[in-house]
Amino acid sequence: MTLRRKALTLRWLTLLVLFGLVEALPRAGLVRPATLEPASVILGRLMEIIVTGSIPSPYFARTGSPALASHVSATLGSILLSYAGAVVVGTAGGVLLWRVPLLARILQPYLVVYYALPLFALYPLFILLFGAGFLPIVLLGFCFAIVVVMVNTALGLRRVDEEVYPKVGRSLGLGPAQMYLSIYLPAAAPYVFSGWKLGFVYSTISVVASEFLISVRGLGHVIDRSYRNFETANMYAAILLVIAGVLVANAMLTRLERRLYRRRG
Amino acid sequence: MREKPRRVRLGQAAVLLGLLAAWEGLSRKAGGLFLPGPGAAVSTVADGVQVGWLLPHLATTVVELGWAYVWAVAIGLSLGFGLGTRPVLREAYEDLLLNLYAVPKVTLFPLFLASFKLGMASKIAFGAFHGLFPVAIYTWTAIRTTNPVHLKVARSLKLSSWETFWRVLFPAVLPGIVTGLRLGFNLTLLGVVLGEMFASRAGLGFLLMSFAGAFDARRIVAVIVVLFVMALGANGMLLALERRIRRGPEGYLQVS
Amino acid sequence: MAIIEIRGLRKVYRPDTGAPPVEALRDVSLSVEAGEFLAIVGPSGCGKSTLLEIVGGLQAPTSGEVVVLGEPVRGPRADVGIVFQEDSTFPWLTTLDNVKFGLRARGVPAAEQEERARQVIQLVGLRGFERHYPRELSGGMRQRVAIARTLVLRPKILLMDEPFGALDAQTRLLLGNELLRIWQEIGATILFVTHDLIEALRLADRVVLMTRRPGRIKRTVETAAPRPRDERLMASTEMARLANLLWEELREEVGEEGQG
Repeated sequence: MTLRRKALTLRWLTLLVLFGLVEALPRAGLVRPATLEPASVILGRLMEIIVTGSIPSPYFARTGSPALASHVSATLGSILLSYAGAVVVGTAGGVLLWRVPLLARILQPYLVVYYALPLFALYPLFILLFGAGFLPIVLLGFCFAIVVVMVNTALGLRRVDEEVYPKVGRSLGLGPAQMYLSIYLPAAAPYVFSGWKLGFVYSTISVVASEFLISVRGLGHVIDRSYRNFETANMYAAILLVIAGVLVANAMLTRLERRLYRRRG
Repeated sequence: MREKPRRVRLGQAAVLLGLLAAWEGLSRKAGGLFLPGPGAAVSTVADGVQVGWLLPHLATTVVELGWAYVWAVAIGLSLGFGLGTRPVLREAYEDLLLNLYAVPKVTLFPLFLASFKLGMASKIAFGAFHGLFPVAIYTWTAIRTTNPVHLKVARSLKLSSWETFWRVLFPAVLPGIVTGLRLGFNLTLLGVVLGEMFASRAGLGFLLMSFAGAFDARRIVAVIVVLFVMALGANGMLLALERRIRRGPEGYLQVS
Repeated sequence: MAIIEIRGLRKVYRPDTGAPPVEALRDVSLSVEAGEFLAIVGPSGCGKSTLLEIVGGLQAPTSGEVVVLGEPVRGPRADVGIVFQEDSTFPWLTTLDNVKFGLRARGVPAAEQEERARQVIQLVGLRGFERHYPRELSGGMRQRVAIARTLVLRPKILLMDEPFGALDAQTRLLLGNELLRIWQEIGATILFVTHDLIEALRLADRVVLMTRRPGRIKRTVETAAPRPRDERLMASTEMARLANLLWEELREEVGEEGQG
C-alpha cells in the first residue's frame, strides 16, 4: 500500500474510532448524559437547530433569544467587526513598520512579547469600563488580531525588498504609485494574506472565548448557557456548529492563500 | 550580538515611558475609581500580598501552569517527533492537528470540565491542550526541514546512531523546538487563565472574574499587572535561551 | 565622445547597524565607446555589480563622476536597460505581459505595446511562448524574457550583471551566442559583467579586469577578434595568450586571501 493510502486509512480509522466512542460510550451508560450525548443525538439536534432555526431550550425561550440567527449574527458580527479593524489598522501599521525601519527596530521587542501576555485578562477590565455588550468583545478581538497582521505585513514587504523585483521596477523608472501597485502588491500579496488569515483565526478565537465568558448573545454564549443548564445535546451541537464554521472559513482562506503563493511561483 | 545603537534604545525606553504615561493619563480622565493608574495598581498588588488575597491564588495559577506546561511539552514533543520522523503519521494527522489548532479550543472546555471535574486537573489539562500545539508543530517542522545532506555527511563519516542524533540532528532541530517551547508556554498560560476565568474557585483567572462581579477595578488591574509581569518574566528567560541557541540574525524572533 | 565616462569613481558602504564601513570601489576610471561590447571580470566581491548599478543609476557613488550619454547619472534612465543575474521575471505575469511591463508603465498605447513586445519576443527566440508563465519556462528562457523586457524599451546601453550566472554551462554558451546575434541586430552598447573569463573574451571587444575589494581597474585587454565569433575561436593562440594573461592577473587578486 502506498504511503498516501496508508495515511488516509489511518486517518479515517482514527476518526471512525472517535466517532464510535462518542456514540457508544454514552449509550452504554459508561458516560453520564450530562457529560456526553451519543454522536447521533448530537448530530440530530444540530440538524434540528439548523432546520428550525431555533434552539430547543426552556432557558433560551424564557430569555427571548431562541433564534439561531440572532446568535450567529452576533458572533459573526463581532468577528467581522474586530477583524476588519485589525486588517485595516494592522496592514497600515505593517506598511509603516516597513517604511520606517527605525520604528520597526524600536518596536521589535514589544511586538515579540505581545502575544506572551494573556490578553484575555483584559476582558473583565473592558467589561467594567464599557459594560457587558459588544464593545468589549470587538475590542478584545481587535487587540488579539492586530499584531499578527501587522508583523506579517511588515515581514512580507521586507522579504520582497530582498528580492530582485523592486530593483527591476526602479531600473524601469517606475514611479512610487506604480511600484506599489505593480510590484509590491503582487509580490507581497501571499505573505500579507497569510497575516490576514491568521488575523481571522485570532479574531474568531477571541470572540468565541469572550462570548463564552460573559455575554448576552452569540454562539459562545449559547455553548456556555447550554453547559450551565445541563442541556448537553444543545451544547455539543453548538460546539460542532462553531467548529464546522471555523473549519470551512479556514479552508476557504487557505485555498485563497495557496492560490496567491502559486501565482508567485 | 550587534550592539543596539543609542537611538533604538532611547526609542524603546520612550515607548515604555509613553505607554505608562498614557495609562496614567487615561486613569485620570476616567476617574481613579474606574481605571486605576500604574501607581495605584502597584500599591494594590502590595496590599494584596500583605492582606493575603493575592498569594494563594497566584500559587494556584503557578502550580497549574507548571503542570500544564510539563504535559504540553511532553505531549507536544512526542507528537512532534512522531509526526516528524514517521511520514505516515504526518500524512495522516498533520492536517487534522493544524485545523484543530485554528479552532477556538475554548469551545471544548466543557469536555475537560466534565472529564476532570472542577479541581485543578481540568485547568491543567486545558492549559496543556492549548500549549501542546505549538510545541508539536514547531518540532515536526524542524525535523522535516533538516537538510538531508547532513545525514548523508554523517553516514559518510561513519557516525554511530547516537552520534548522528546528538551531533547532527539534535543541533539542527533544537532552534525550532525552542521557539515552539516558548510559544507553547504562552498558549499554556492563556489556556490556564481562561480555564480559571470560566470555571474555577481559585487562581488568578478566578480572581479576575470575581472582582469583575464586585466592580472592583483596582484589584482587577492589580491581577492583570501580576499576570503580565509573570508572562514577561517567563518570556524573557525563554527568549534569552532561544537567543543563546540560535545565535543567528534577528529575523528569528517569531511572534506567534 | 564616449557614451559612458567614469572618472575616479569611489563607493563606500556605511551600514547603519554600526558595522564598519566597506569600500567597494576605489578610483575606478573607464571610458566606453558607443556600440562597444565591454566585459568586466574580477574576483567575487570586487564591486563589479556595484559598478554596474551605479552606472545604471540604482546606486549613488560616494565620489567621482559618472557621465552617461553626456549627462551625469542621477537615477535610472529610460535609454539604459539593466538585466539582473537572478531570475527577475515577474512570476504573476505571462511572458507577453512581462515584456510589456515597462512599456505599460510608460503609457505606451496598447496596440503599440502588443506589436513591439511580440517583435522582441521573436528576436530573443521565444515565439510561441507568449502566454506561458515563468514557472513553465526553463531558466534560460526566463533570462530571455528578462532580456526581452529590457530590449523592448530600445535602450542605447544595456547593462548586464552576470545574466547567465545562474544557468548551466550549455545554456550559457547558447545564450552568449544569442546575445551576440541580438547585439548585432540592435547595435546597442553592452556592459557585461561576468566571473567567467573565457565567456568575457569570447563575447566582448574589450575585457576589463578588476582587482579584489576595494575594486580598481587592474588591466584592460582588447580581444580584437573578427566577428561573427564561434567556439573554435577560443582555441586560437591569440585568445589563449589573452586568457592566460588575465588568469595570471586574476590569480594575483584571488591568491593572497584565497577568496573568490
